[in-house]
Amino acid sequence: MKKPPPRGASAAASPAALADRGAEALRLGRFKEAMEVFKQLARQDPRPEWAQRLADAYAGRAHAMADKGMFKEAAMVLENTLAPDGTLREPVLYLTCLIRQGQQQKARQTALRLAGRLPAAEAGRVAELAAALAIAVPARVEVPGANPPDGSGGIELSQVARAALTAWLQGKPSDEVDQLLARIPLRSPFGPLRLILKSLITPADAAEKAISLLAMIPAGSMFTAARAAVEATLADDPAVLLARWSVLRPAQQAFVAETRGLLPTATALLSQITEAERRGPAALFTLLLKPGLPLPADDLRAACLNLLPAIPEYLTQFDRRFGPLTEVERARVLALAAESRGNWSRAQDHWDGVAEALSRQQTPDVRLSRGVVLRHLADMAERHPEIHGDPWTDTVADYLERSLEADPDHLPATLALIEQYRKADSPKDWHRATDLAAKRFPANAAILLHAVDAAVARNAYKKAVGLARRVLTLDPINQPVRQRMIELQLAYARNQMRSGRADLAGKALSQAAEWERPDAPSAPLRIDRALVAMHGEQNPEADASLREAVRLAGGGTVGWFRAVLEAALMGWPDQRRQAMHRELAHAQTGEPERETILSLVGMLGQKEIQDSKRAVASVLWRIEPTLVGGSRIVWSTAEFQTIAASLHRLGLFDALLNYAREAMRRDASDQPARFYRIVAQIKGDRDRLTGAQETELYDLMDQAGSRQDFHMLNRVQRFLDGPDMSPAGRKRLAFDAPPDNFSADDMEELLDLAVSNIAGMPDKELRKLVKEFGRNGAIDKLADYVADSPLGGILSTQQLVDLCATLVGRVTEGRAQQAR
Amino acid sequence: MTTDPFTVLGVDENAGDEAIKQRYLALVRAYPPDREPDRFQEYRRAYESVRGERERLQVKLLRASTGALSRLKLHCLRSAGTERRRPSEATMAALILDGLYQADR
Repeated sequence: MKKPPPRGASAAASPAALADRGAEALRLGRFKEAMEVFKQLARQDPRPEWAQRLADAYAGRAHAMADKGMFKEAAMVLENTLAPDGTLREPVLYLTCLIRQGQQQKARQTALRLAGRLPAAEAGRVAELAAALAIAVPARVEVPGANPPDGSGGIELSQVARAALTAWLQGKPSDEVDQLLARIPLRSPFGPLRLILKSLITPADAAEKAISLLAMIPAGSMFTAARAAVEATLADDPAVLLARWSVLRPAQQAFVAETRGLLPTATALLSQITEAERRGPAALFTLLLKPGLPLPADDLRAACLNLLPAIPEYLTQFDRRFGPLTEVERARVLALAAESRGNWSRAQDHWDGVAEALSRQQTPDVRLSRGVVLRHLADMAERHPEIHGDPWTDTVADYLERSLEADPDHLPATLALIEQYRKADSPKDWHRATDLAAKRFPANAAILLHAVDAAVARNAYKKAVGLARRVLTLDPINQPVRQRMIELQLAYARNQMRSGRADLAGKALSQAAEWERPDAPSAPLRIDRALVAMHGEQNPEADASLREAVRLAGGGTVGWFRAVLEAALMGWPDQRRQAMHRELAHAQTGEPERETILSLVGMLGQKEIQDSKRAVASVLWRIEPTLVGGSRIVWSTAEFQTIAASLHRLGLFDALLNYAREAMRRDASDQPARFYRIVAQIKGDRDRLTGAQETELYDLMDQAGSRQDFHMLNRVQRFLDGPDMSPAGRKRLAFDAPPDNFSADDMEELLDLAVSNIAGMPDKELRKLVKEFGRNGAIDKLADYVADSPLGGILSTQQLVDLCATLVGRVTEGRAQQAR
Repeated sequence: MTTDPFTVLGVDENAGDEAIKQRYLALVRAYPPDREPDRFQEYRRAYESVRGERERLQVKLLRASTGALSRLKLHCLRSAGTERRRPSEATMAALILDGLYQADR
């Protein structure tokens, strides 16, 4: 194949084209080409500009050559840039190229000659270079008239500097060295040397002073390498020395080694270790395995042991050299190796092996070790659900329980276990874990707070109050516990009002007020107290209190809605709420503000509000205009998702559709908006999905998956899959088909058993469920109940749902028949 | 700098709570946060990760520690004596020339 013609100047090209080509070549670093182009241009038109660009090309070429170690060639190229005044381009590069070729004398003479002719900044660097050369390579003959630019008598200064260095090298007393150093001006090119030697003669107990002297040497100084070496020499902390050593070059390491009296064989070994470490764990392991290394045996073994997780294939070599690993060591190595490869199942197996091996010893530190490993397994199970075991076990909770058997005093694990049971909606386990924790940590506010919640959940109010008081004894400000107790009393007061017992409601609210902090009044509490006071007869003071409480709740729409809601929760009949309804309607004139919408959504998301679906539903329509009006506000993605999720949960599909449409009007590709538009169109009922809508939902999932938006992915997935039928979500998702070894007869028998188990539930209870939660909600609740029973693990999800739908249908059809 | 907390603090892996705490306090006195913020943070991070027995077990069990390797390297850096010595003239010249080699970088 014919060689392409060299990229060079073309004789036929115009000067302008050549200039462009030359500039492009310079820009792209094609310095050889640039040189040819600008040479031609300079021949055609000897403008200073072309000479300048040619010099740029030479400089670039010289740098490129020096980078490849071609110092002689680089120097020759730079000599092409010699100007009539004797200066040349890149003087420092030129001089270092001479030095690297071993031409130190020539470099020194050139430096001295150049120093007086260069611009100030460059002259300073060159002068310093000349000074450094004068120290490193004394001149055979001093160049007459070769003075450094500061006019300080260059030769004499150079001699003083050399004398000071020689005095130090010969171990002369510090005073003697100091006297010589005092004759070197700090601003002279030998200034850095003065600082270096001064730091070296500073007493060891004034290390800070020595370091501060070195800090005065500017970055970019010719003595920077020496400075770094001296800093390492002066390091009193071995770890600091080790860190600095690893970044020093050989010449610097040699200085440190000699100055600190380090053993040559040892520093050579250290260099081997550093180099092997750089090459990788296998190389390092092979080096450390060599017999006869002058290193402590225990540390050798430990270092090799800790390399094994990266190179488990070397286990056999380790055994041969150091003897067999213990069971714990081997399993640990394999576990860490599996983790580093992302093989979490295998890692789990091996860590289980470590825990098992540790369980055979019962000494305190071994038990603590077992606790560490089991907590690690719990953490792994939390992060990697794919390693979960059988579907009947909450793997995370199981590991946490076992870790607490080994290490019962570990508070974070205790809290984690309680949270795990709470999250998994396992009330019995939650209560058990909380009670145990409260006994073990009787003075821990976080644990006691959990105990308060558990007591409330069990309706053990007196116990809850006692525990809450204990929390406040430990932590008088504890706002969460105060809030809990206030909410508890509010719930009780509302119940009493609904039962017509305003007296008991008032008492409960007075007790709730004891939990209030003066600087953090509770708006719902104040509202409720006003409502109770207003119960029965007109009470102007109570009316004023109510208005004050509404202001405290945020005033306007938010405050009056809170009041209306509380009245509904207390069972106030509609006609008694007219005045409040009017205030609420009046407050909703004008466009709603962002804060109003967010406050309403936040209020409707509170647990005690969510739990009172009927009361909320009876008043929700009163703020629907405000909520709909909020759809015209430009929301961030996070805000939109929060609001949309709330509207979905509350069944406000018309408002939801408005929000989705407005969001899509601003951005048609907005994925959460697209999702919620569909949800709103089908009013949250998956059975109404059209084919096109279902396809769009799957598209949304694909798109979310590919941009790793797992939040969105899970949201759509959950909607398509429907409600999770089990209290411990993950364990149910893992089991969607009946066991393979169950015959048809087995299944029929089990189904009969399931039906009779639930069929014993009175119709009255079933009707209550339907009345409270609607048909579908009742099926969900019933399915939860069955899933929690021993039969729950045997029936598939679909069988559960079908079974419960049949039972619920029994009572609803029965009612229909009765009505007819 | 090494990330092994025991090496950072300069304590043995089998040191107890009190020894580790005293060493940490000594380091903080020598390198207070206002004067040496980066070093202080490093020491603090190391201390937090080994201050209690459980934390130390966690470091030893759940990580492939580099502590032993650091100790091997430190062993190599042990001096033959306590006094500072003087390098040879050749070593000094090589050091200065090494600095000049880097001058154009």
